[in-house]
Formats: sequence, structure tokens, C-alpha cells
Amino acid sequence: MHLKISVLGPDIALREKTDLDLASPTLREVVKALLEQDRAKWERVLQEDCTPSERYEVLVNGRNMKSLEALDTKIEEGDEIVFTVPLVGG
Amino acid sequence: MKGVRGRLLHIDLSSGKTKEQVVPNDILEGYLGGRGLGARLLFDTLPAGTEPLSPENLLFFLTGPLTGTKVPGSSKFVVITKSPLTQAWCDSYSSGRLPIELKKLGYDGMIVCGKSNHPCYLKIDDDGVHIKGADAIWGKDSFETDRILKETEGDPYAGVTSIGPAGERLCRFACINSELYRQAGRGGVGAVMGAKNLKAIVIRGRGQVHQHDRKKLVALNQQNYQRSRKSEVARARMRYGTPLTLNITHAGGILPTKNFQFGTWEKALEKIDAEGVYKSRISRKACISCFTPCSLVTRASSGKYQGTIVEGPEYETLSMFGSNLLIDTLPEIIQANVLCDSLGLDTISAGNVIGFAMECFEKGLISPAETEGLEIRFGDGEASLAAIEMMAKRRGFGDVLAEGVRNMAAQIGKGADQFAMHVKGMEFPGYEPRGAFGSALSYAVSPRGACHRRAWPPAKEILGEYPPYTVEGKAEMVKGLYDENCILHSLLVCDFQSKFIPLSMDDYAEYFQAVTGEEITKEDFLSIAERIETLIRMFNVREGLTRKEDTLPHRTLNEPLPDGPAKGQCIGKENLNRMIDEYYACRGWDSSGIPTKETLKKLQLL
Repeated sequence: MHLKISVLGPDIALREKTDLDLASPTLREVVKALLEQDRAKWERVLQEDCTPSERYEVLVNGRNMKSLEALDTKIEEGDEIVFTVPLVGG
Repeated sequence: MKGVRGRLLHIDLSSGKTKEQVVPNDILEGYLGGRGLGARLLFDTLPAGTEPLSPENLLFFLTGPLTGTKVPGSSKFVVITKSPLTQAWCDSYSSGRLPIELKKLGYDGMIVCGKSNHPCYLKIDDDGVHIKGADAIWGKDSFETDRILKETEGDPYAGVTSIGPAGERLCRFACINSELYRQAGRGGVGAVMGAKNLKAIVIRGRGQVHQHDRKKLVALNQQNYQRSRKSEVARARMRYGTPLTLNITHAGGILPTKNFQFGTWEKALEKIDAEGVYKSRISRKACISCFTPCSLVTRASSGKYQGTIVEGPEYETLSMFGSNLLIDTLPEIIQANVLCDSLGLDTISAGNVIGFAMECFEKGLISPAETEGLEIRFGDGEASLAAIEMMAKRRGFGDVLAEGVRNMAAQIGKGADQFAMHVKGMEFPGYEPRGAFGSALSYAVSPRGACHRRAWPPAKEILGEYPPYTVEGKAEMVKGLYDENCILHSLLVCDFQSKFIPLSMDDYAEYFQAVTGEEITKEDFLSIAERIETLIRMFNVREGLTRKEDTLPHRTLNEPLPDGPAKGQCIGKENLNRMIDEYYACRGWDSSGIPTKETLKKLQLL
């Protein structure tokens, strides 16, 4: 499946197109696949138990996973996932 | 207690007389400083119904108990007055040397009243207050004024705070400038200063600010410095500054776009967002007393404005002059930022006013015949820059723009009020409330009008566990955010460190103890915040504001967002009413929004 993934932290990665060999996965399965695909890249943002690292939040199509089904949130083809530090204001 | 002196400097520009005013200890303990002290002083001393631009209005410049120390983010000051934009309470925040120099002179703040016969500026130092003629600087922009006054006074390190031409011409959203790029931006405080014929304040103190336990203060700073360097959030803020907020608001569908018609704008990405601004940076800057620098200094890299330098643009400016006007060229936004800063305009209101004018033009409600030939269309950066000059100088159509969107809508008529994006006359900041319902409540009940400083509900609704498109629990959530920020704004420290190091109320209690020697708890802080917020409500009630003013524009209430994650959402009158009912109940106010006798008694306001 194709997903758009962004990281908003001390190093930004915007809307990287990511292909994962998953069908109708949960967010947990996506996170696991990302860690398996490139652990060095993701270990700063994601922990072994698939939860985000301290102080990162996860948005699925603009909604925080905490206000959805957390790591059990269903992910669909073309979804946008953002891993972001909680910064607002300006 | 140490840290505060209990003395205010009172300056009457009509008589030219100055005096010292003593602030009783129980007021300092019960209201801390900054916003809290200003609430008590304005309520007690400004007669009800005072016209904001009359000599009778009062203009307070206040510090807090932590000002002038090494507490991070403690170089802030607040300007408090009755607003010419809203006819209500106004607190507007800035930073720079002014508060530090005031403290070194032995004052916690100053009160300016009356009106000078001629344009003047104040020179305040250890020799006293000198009211000097401002003929050489009246009409000059804020940058030039800063330069001339430092030269004239022979002191490049003096604190200089000034207004630009917008303040002189009483533009209702004129700001007060410090350190070139720092503004007390909101609510038209610059117009109040202009109405007093006061162009600038030059201030220099030679004394010291007493601190109770310097060793503890140093230890706290060392510990929090280490925390900031390990925090991903602080590191992101220090690298990208506030422009990173644009990526987050876009992702959450709350990025104001085309005068708040939409909540996302793809064209902003990599052009006017964190990446776009980062590419144009030439240096970073921190406020005095801050160890987490988050300001980027940028230079326009191409086009007509190539080479223009500004400290910024910050998120609010990027959203109001970028996505909200459909402008995706950073050099034009940098130029708009410089123009607003030098002419003395609040970038939030100015951008919002231009967005409103663009929509009126697009809908045919105004034509070139009414705009002195200016074709003010979305996406036209040059038109937005022309509009800035016109409004600052009240030239032609600029005289209409300078009145703010509420007055513009009344003048234009034809249903324009339905998309005039303001609360109580103050223009919306850079968060679309239909994608975070708590923001809708926060804007509606804010005493100074649509405000991003009292609470940041998206921190809980986009970046936290609260569902964004529901009303349950939002009243309590917003009250909690209000009360925490109330304490930060009364101690007068920057909001940001509390969010990104992060520093808790307990951390600030430690800092408070180190500076003043007084023990205080988080619970004490929150009781004080409740007292302050209710007193401010009483001020507005006395000015004639009612529940009717705690509302939102037609667009926010009734037009569903057409795009993004919040597609299909609007607030609805019923939802707003429920949140307001619950908010009033949390505060101990009756259903009309008037604090009950029991509440006043509990908060020691009776």
C-alpha cells in the first residue's frame, strides 16, 4: 500500500511516499513495518513497542491517534500519517 | 518580597507632572504582576465608559516579579489599556529592554495618562523623567525612530519603545515596537499611545534587581538548560522557530486560508512553512534572558525585495499574510513583515483586514472606485503591500482599512459582516476554529477579542487526546489553559518555554521562590489566575459587554469547512452556547456571564 508520511521534529521529512507490503493494516502494523524497513531512521521517533517516542504525537489524516483508536486505528490506501512534536503557537 | 519594589511611576502628559505610586503588598501577593496587576489597577482607576483614544484613558507598561532576572523568557512586558479596537479590556505583550530598565530604576511599571500638547517622547533615567519634544521623529517609522533616539541620547544600549506612523494616525490596530522587531501587537495599544501624542519612551536604569537566592536560580537554569537540549520539542523549535507551526496547522486542517474559507493550503508547503523559512535564514536570535533562541532572522532571496532582512516572519505573519491571502512567495511576506513592523501595525490584524478586503473585492462588494483604484485580489502580494501603506497612513481607502474588520463590515454593508473574522472587534489569529472546537470557545469568551495568547486549544485537540470536533469537556479544558497562561502572563514570562522544555507550574513556583523568597504552590497560582480572569470579566461587564459579545462570526458558526481533515465541520450556535454555558459555570459566573456574589466572595473580590 502507498502512504504519505511526514516527520515534524528537529529534522523535517515532508510527505515521503512510502510503500508497505500490507493490506488493511492497523497503525501498529504500519509502525512495525516502518521500524523493520529502516530502524536507524525511525528509532528516534518510534519505540520498540510501536508507541511514539516521548513527546511525539501521531496524526492520521489530521487526527491525533489518541482521539481515534490509538495504535488500533485502521489505515487505508493513500492515508497521510504525520509524526510530530507538539508545537503550536507563533 | 524581593523581585518587586511595589512602586509605579505615574506620568501625566497633560500637566507634565510625575509621581510615584505605591502598590500595597496584598495587591502584589494577590495578583503577582503583569496581567494580574494590570487587571487590579485598570479596574480600580479607569472610570467606566472612558473613550479609549481620549486623554483620560490610561496606558500601563508593567513588568512581573521575575523581570530583570535570569529566569528564562523573563524580558517580557505587558501594555494594558482600554482598547480602541474592541472598546474592552486589552493586554498586549512584548519583550526587550524596557521592562529590565524599568526594574533597574526601581519600578514595577509605569502609568501614562493625559495628553501632551505637542508630540513628545519620554526619557527616563536615574535623574528622573524628562518630557522632550518629538518634532524630529514624529512621522518617522519605528526603525528610524529607534536609531535617531539612540543617537540623540548618546546611548546605544538604552531601551527604546516607539510607535510608527500607524499609531500617530490612530489606526485601531497599531502596535508598539521594541528592539525593532518586537511588538506589543494586539488591540491597538499603539493608537492609545499616539492619541496621547507620545511617540516613544527611552529608558535606562543603573540599579540592580534584587534576587532572594541567586545560587538556586543558577541551579534551576542549569537543570532546565540541560532539559531543553535533550528535548526534541525544544530542539525543533530552536531550529525551525514558529514557522514549524504552519506544517502542523496545515496537517490538522486549521491553517487559515483565503480569509478563513479553507483550512489547508498545499501551496504553502516548502515555500512559506518551516522548510521555506529555514532556507532563507541568515541567523538566529534569542530574547534577553532566554537560553532557547527561537527567532530566525531571514533575508529575502529573490525578486523585487531580494536582500530585505527581518527577524521573522513568525507563524502568525506567515498564516495571515501567506495562506490567508493566498500568497506563497516568502520575499513578499518578509517585505509585508518589515512594513508592518516599521510602520507600526499588528501583522495579525493587518493581514486579516487585507484578507477581508480581498474577499469583499472578489464578491463585488467593493470596487476600484472605492479603493482608490487598488485591485485588491487574493494572491496579489503587491496589492497587499500597497494596502499596508494605505492603512498605516490612513490614505484614501486606507482610512477604511485602519478601522478593523468589524467597522469595515458595518461601513461596507451588503452582508459583509458574515465573513468579517473577528470577536468583539479583534481580528482572528492564525488558527481556524472549525477544526478545533476548543479554539472556537477560547476566541468567543476571550476578554480582548479573538486571541491566540490566552489558550492554544489545538495543543490538546490536534496534538493531544481531545477529539477536535466535539464540545464535551472543552469548557474545562479551555479554562485550564487560560489559567496557566494567566500565570505566565502575570509572572511575565514567555509562553514558549513552558510548552517546549517544558516548564510546569511547579517549575515556575521554584523560580518564584528563588527570586522573591516567597513559597508558592501550583494551587496558589491557579487560585490567583481565577481571581484575575474574573476581575477582567468584571471590567468588561462594567464597560457594557454582555454574553451577546461572546460569539463568533457567521462563517465559523454556520459555514462547513470545505476541505481538509475537518471537512464538513462548523461550530453551530447550539454547540457554542453549550460550551459557553459550561465555561461560565466552571468560572462561577451566572448564565449571563456575570460573576456571582459567591464567586466574588470566594476570590476575595468583594
